[in-house]
Amino acid sequence: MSSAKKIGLVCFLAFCVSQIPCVSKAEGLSAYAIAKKSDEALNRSTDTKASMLMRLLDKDGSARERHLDSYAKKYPNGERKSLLVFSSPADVKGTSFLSWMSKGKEDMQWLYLPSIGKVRQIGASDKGRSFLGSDFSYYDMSSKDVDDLVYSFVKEEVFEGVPCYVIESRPGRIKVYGKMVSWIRKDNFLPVKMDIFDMDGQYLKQGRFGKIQTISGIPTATHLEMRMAKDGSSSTIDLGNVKYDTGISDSVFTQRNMQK
Amino acid sequence: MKAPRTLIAGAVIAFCLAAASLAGAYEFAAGKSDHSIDGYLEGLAVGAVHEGTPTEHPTGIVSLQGKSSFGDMAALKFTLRGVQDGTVLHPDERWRFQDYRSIYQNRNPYFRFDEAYVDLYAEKGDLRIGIQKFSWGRLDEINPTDVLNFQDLTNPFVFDSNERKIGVPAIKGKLYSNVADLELAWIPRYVPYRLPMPDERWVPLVLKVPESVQLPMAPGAIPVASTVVPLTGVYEDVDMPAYTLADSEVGVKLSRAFGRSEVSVSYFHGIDPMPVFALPTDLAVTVLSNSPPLAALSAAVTLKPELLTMDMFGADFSTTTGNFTFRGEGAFYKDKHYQREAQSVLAGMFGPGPQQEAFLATLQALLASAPPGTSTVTHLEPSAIEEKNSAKYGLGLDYVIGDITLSGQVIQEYIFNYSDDNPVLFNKHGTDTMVTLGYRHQLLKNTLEIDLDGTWGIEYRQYLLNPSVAYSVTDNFKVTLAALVLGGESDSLFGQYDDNDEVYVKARYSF
Repeated sequence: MSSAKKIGLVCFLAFCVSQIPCVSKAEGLSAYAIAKKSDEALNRSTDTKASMLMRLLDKDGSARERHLDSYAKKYPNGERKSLLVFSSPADVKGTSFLSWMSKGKEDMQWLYLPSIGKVRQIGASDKGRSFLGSDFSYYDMSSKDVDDLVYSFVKEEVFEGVPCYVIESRPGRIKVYGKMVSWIRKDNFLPVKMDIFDMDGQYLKQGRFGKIQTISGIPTATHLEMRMAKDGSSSTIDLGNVKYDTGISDSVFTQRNMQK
Repeated sequence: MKAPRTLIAGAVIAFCLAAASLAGAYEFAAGKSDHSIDGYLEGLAVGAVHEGTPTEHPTGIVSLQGKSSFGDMAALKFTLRGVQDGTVLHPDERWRFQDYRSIYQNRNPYFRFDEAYVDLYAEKGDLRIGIQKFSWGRLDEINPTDVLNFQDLTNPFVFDSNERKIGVPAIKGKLYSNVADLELAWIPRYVPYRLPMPDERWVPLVLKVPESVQLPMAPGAIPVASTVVPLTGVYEDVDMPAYTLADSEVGVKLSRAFGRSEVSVSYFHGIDPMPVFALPTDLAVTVLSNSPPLAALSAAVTLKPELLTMDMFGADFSTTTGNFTFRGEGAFYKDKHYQREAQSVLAGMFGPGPQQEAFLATLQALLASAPPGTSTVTHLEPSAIEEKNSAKYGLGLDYVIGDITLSGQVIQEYIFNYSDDNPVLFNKHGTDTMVTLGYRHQLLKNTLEIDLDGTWGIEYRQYLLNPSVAYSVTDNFKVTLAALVLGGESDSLFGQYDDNDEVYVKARYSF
């Protein structure tokens, strides 16, 4: 049964993560409009592939690493598909996770474990749970529907020398966090920081998004960090070999491909 | 039956060839190759809870996985396993690679290729040629439809079912379409299961010859010193089937998705994976005296593995809703084979009927004419195997909440037209029901994992408990502390190992 233990692995891709923005009005933009622009900034490409290095850091500085290759594609009907393939540590090498996300529907997910030699269909699972044991949650790692959150404008602020909008988002259909406060750059609408609160309103963790590179004309945050408020542990993700719009075949996002 | 089997095997080969050609021309993508080798070293130390049980020394395993990918068109993969097997008590001096024709392989240390195959990929089909493992079905550990590989049962509980599987030389073709995916497997040569030697820790009940058998006759009814006949066991290895098309095995599986549900139907024709044995017996009669007439009896029972064919018609499904995953799997077996209980088989040899009459006639003639000390041997062929149609089916449910995964399964086997006059092993009154429950909790950023797995057999009140705690000291080094607790009626699957409770430690370094 050692196999199923990795059912906890998972989901996907890039932090194409949509961070969310706000409401009232800032320079003529509503919070929702800022959120929408941020989502567009994060999802300008039709497909993305990248290698990911995830580091799990304890408070004492000790680190564990996971290497993954990620593939993601969005479709005109709003559907998004992603595939994660683990290349290290050695005992999970070859493990892959496939996810199909359709607007308004439950995600469909499959896990391939080389140790059992077959693909298992798995439930959408609790999105608030830890992603690979890291401080990121499955929710943090998944694309989000901008329309599923409710936004309000907080303020404008210069963060680390960069003018930002600060907006607050609260959950809609999917309730994972109580609220998220996001700092969105005014110049390219990329998020740079996010304070996350639990359902009781307690400060839970903080996300940072940095090392922005322009790849194929698309500004991309290639370093993400999530730090827990409670124990000071943190996790980082560094992206490498990011490539946009390479025409990833639909066949990549299949059970067949997971087993290759 | 030879002709239809030849036709089926021929059709499968034709399919595999057609799949390769229909799927598209194969091209080597030069300059896009990728090669890797990784693996692990594992140590296993066992501490027996009960004294007096067969020893299990520490086991060491080295596993190497190699992969060479050639663009998107082909890949070569192998898994080579080297084992210093702690369960082997009397290693022999044979060639260190395990072979594909023996049930008893007590070479130690040994090597074997778990898998070694080439994959050819095309747009709408794949072809896999070589030593490989199949994984059919959707239940965990107990898969009614997963009958293409036989198992290494020399250490049946510490390793999971995929590790126990023995790779078979085979050709597998898969075709993908919008309607359904079709998989065809052809196994040209049967590869037998592997069993422990008779004095080893995990020797199964089926290999235990009773010390004696009680003749079903009243004392004094026949002129023998004792109606309790001492028995000795003789172990034969398997008599492999001919290397012909007609003796090959075939499997077919058709799969497709319906919304959130996935469904497969499958068929297999080949050797029954259940180890069953004929029990030919040589009964020795020794004259002790002529007046009064008195003889002594003893018998040598040969355990002769029988390879018998069966057909399997299977189906399985899985579907999800929310955090739940539902799984189901069932199979109907035509002409499946079950081992009868040795005691009843051997006692039955002397029961009323032609065999008893022949035996008594031989005994009387011998006592009338042969001097004391004279022995004669009578060869008997009792019916030790029951051929029945049966079904095995089960349902499973997984639930994930946070870092905890809960799972449960109910699996039942039912033998049609079962008769209590001919009891078989592991199926009380023709039915065997298992309930499995699993609890898994990952802690400390997935470095600590607590597992509680249990299986209960209802009819035999048997159980297997396997709690474990695994800690990843580093990303590459994991230590597992676990226990096996087995019990139940002595003639049950788990109960036969009632004295084999143990704690064990596994340490694995992956590279």
